Amino acid sequence: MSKTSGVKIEDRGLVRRFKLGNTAAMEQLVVKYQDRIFNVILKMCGNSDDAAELTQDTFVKVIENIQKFRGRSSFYTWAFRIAVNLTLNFCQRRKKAPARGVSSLDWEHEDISREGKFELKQFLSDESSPDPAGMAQQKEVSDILYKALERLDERHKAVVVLRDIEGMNYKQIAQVLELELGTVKSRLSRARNSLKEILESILK
Amino acid sequence: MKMDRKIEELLNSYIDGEGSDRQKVEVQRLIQHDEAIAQRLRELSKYRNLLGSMSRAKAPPRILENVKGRLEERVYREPVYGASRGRGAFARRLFAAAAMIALIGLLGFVIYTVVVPEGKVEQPFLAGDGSPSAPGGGIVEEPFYGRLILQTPAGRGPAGIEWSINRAVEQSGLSVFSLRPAEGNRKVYVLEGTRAAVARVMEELSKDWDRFDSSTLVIETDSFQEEVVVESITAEQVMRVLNQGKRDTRIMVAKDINLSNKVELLAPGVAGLPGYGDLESDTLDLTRAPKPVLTGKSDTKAEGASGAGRRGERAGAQVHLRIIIEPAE
Repeated sequence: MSKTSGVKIEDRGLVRRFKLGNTAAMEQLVVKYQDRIFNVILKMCGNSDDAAELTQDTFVKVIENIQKFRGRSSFYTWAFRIAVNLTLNFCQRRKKAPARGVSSLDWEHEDISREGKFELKQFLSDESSPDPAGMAQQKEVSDILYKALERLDERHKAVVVLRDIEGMNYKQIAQVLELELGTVKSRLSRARNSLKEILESILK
Repeated sequence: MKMDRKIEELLNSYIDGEGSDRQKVEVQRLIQHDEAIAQRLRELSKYRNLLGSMSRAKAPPRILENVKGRLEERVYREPVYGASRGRGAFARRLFAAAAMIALIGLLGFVIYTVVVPEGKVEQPFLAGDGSPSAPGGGIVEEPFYGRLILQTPAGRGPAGIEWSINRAVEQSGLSVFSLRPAEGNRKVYVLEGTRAAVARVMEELSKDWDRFDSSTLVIETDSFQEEVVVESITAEQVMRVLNQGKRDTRIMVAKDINLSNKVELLAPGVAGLPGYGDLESDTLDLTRAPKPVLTGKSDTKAEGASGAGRRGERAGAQVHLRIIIEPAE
């Protein structure tokens, strides 16, 4: 049995017990998914306080609506659908009425670390396929990647974060975003292209 | 050079391991014959791996506590007129719903106190030999039909619990007790007798109650052809339901308990607060009085039948209760 199937069966049991009134099962589900949901929301909205709020919103909504969950999709994709929808709505509202402290999208005035730019440029132009892990976890480079993600169109951002950061397959992404498989493929392709162009403009 | 859109999608599917075998072969052929495509593939891989290597943020502490706190808040937040305008409409709805529920609760209380005289509810019939006695003045006795579904933890059958029930039944003096043939790991006990006798069984079972993963009481009715389900029920609550002589009162008490248990699930500790009664809220999506509601998935095998055919088979017994013990799947 694959790891995914094992996870699904475990979730099904927890959801069933939760629906029958078992609080411990509910707590297990929250603890199990809180890191992953927080991580995805943070990569999408770029602010950890907002991400914490949205994570809590997600679980409140999950708990309130658990009796409506029929199990047609997995609990995992259902919970992420709620998280992503809440985050997309939040980001749209924020764009219309930006609060103080939200980072500007004006790159020319951003204090982007020169060292980070240099490191990233080197990495991207290196033909020998160096290991990206050490690179991406440097704070300066990570800041640049966050800023590039922030610059992405919301629909592109969602699909790139779910695929490249959360590691969902196309079918799961389609369920979370309620899209056709073909749309996921084309949107992901365009999203990666956009991200590349954004990074190139930052690194110029 | 701008790559063809179809080839771009093909390359993306390839690096994600999503393409069909035929598409994978096609990509391999392309990268062998076209350096630009091979270069593009390397580039896509690099960007994808870069994003995938970003450190994974951990959720801040106390997410769970904060979630529970917010749920509590939603149940008990009172509308404050003049507060933030954005919440005005919600506050009005909540107030209207709370007023309606309070009214229904009051009506239910009045009917309850009028129909069921004080003192007779708790022990209307005390037959030590298990045989029913005629009801006292004024109460029309309506037998209870239902099933109590107790789930043991997954992978663990009802062994051990069986011993407790057998002992409890022996000591209770029930008029009829039978154990149906086991279905896999599932055991069904059919109890028929007076309330007092069933109460002794429940008292014995209550000692093992925390061994169950879940406990659900299903009341079979024949007026709506629907069943009333009470989730997360305790042994004491089972007897509260069984002790109601009239079916309608029994259903009302059952629904009250079900609501209380659901609120307790959403906001632990809240249901015990004074003033808490038949609290309902559209936001919480709980059952609506007075129509009985079938919730969750009860056992759907032969035991799931309304039982109408059994009525009258064991005439005279006050309680016809099937206790089903099964491991969670």
